[in-house]
Amino acid sequence: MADRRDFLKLMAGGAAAATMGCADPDPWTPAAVRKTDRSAVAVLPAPDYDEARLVEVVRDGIGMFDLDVRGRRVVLKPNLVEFDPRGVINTHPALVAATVEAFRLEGATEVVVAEGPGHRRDNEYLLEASGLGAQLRDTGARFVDLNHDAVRRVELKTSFTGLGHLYLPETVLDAGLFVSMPKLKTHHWAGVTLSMKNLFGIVPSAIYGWPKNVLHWAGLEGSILDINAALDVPRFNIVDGILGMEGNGPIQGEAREVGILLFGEDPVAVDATGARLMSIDPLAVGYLSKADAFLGNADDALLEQRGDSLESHRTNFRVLSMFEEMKTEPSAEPE
Amino acid sequence: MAQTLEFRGIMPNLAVSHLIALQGQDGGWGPYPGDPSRTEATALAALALQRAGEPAAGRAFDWLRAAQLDSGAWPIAPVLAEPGWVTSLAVFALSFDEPAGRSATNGARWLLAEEGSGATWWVNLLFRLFPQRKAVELDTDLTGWPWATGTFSWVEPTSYAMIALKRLRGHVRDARLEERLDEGDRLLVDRACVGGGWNYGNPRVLGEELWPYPDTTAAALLALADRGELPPVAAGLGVVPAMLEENESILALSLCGLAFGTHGVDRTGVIERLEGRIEEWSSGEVRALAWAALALDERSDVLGLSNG
Repeated sequence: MADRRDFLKLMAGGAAAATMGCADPDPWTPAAVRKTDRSAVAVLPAPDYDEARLVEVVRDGIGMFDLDVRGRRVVLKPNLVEFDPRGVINTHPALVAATVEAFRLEGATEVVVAEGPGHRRDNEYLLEASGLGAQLRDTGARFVDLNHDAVRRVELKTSFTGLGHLYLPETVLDAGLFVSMPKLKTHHWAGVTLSMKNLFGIVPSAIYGWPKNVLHWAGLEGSILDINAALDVPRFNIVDGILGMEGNGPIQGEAREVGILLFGEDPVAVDATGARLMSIDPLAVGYLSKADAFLGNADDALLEQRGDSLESHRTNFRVLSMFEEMKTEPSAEPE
Repeated sequence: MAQTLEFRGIMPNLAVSHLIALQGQDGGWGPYPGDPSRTEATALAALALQRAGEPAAGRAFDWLRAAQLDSGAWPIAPVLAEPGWVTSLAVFALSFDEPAGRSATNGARWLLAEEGSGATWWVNLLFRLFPQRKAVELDTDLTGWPWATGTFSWVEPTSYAMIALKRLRGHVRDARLEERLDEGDRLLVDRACVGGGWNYGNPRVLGEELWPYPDTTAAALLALADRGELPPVAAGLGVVPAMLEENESILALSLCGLAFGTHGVDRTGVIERLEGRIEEWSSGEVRALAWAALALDERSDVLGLSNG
């Protein structure tokens, strides 16, 4: 009987044949290449969502990188895709608020919170139910609805989907620093969802549909790669790994405590580290493996670990059985 | 975009006065106050002002006519110039202004030609080889309307297209009309959540049930206004009160109030809550405000859908 790996290979092969043709070995242009010799990532302990303490942790994390945000407009992009009062779907509002404060203290002229929710069109509900709306009022930060923001056409530097171009929000394209702030989660299609997959939320649903329909139609992995290669602005990534999500993520999984924040400029390196924190081999994740070839570093030999050791926080996340082959150790049984 | 609003004074329907105050120089509205005009917000605001008998609706309909593409469709925004799902809302709005006019009927013909796509051949092949990997339990052969041309059919664009086409039933002579509406009805039945109501269009993923949303439930209920005998209609109406216990957004209250009114369900409680919320309108979404203006209309069937 064919297994999941065969299935995914066939899916990927079908998508590639449908969109690229078989004669194109490298579906990226030289302009898309951002891979460097080495990439730094930082793991810092953060036991809970106490906002005042998180401001210090985020400042410590930012301080481990050569970031100068003075005079720049920082755009934070949390994961706010859906709301379930029983779940841990979204980047915690206290972390978003703490990050707003941290970048202000670092000298940013403005810190904006921006998201284009993928499932829901009712932003008022999402913001209030999740608690982010109240946090934004407290901090005085502006929220930009990326699903309806003004857009500019961006020609893609890669051809994983064959879409050719995307309309992307001006708030993101004009950012002095764009910060992807995902939740540390498993994902029932892609294996993991972290900094790179979080960029689905910058693609305006008013044009591409809910739930980001054109991207799913064009291929999930290819879309992740095309969007990340297209976004040519200064970037940083902060992963909410205080409480992650295991199992049937990104919506219906269960909370898993890890107690860390993960920082880095290279989204591939950050996501590879996030995968390892969940005991998932990043090079077994299709889009991370491909991204490692041109967009950043997933190979741990090329990563410089700052802050705590990865091993000291590594947690054995449970995954759906079809992703078990990606694990570096067998999933623990649910408690 | 946050901004201070200066209203023209208290009117019976506060949402209408908000809309009038926000109308752009070009006659349209953007998604948020101060944004460049786009089709969705303008179509809904035009509809709301027309139903309120406000002369400002005229300039809004002019904006819509000027923004229409040669194909009969409307773009999301004039700068994009590609046909979009918002065509349904423009046609629906124009059905109250000039239902037999060229603008509305050309738009309706474009809608009739616009179809959601099913799964591609290789995906169908893969799911035959790996039936256990078919993550969603949908009838992918049913054709409704997509958000973006060439992609899958979903609840909200299908609902809007059906609302527009059902409104224009007497004005568009096209053999495809009834066939497409019938298939749209069946698609909405197929996409209903197990316990009632609709979300964006996936009742189950990987065997686990997903929950319904008030706004998409209401959109589907409006599209099925003439199909009250279908079991998902009663189930959808039945699940709305529980959803509104956890959600009192202006969008949710407005659309659910309209769905209740259209189906003859007592909407008093929903409208009272909406009246309280509209005074503190804070979300800034123009489309939510326009739906609220319609919901606050004293006519329960202000959308004219009850009789198809």
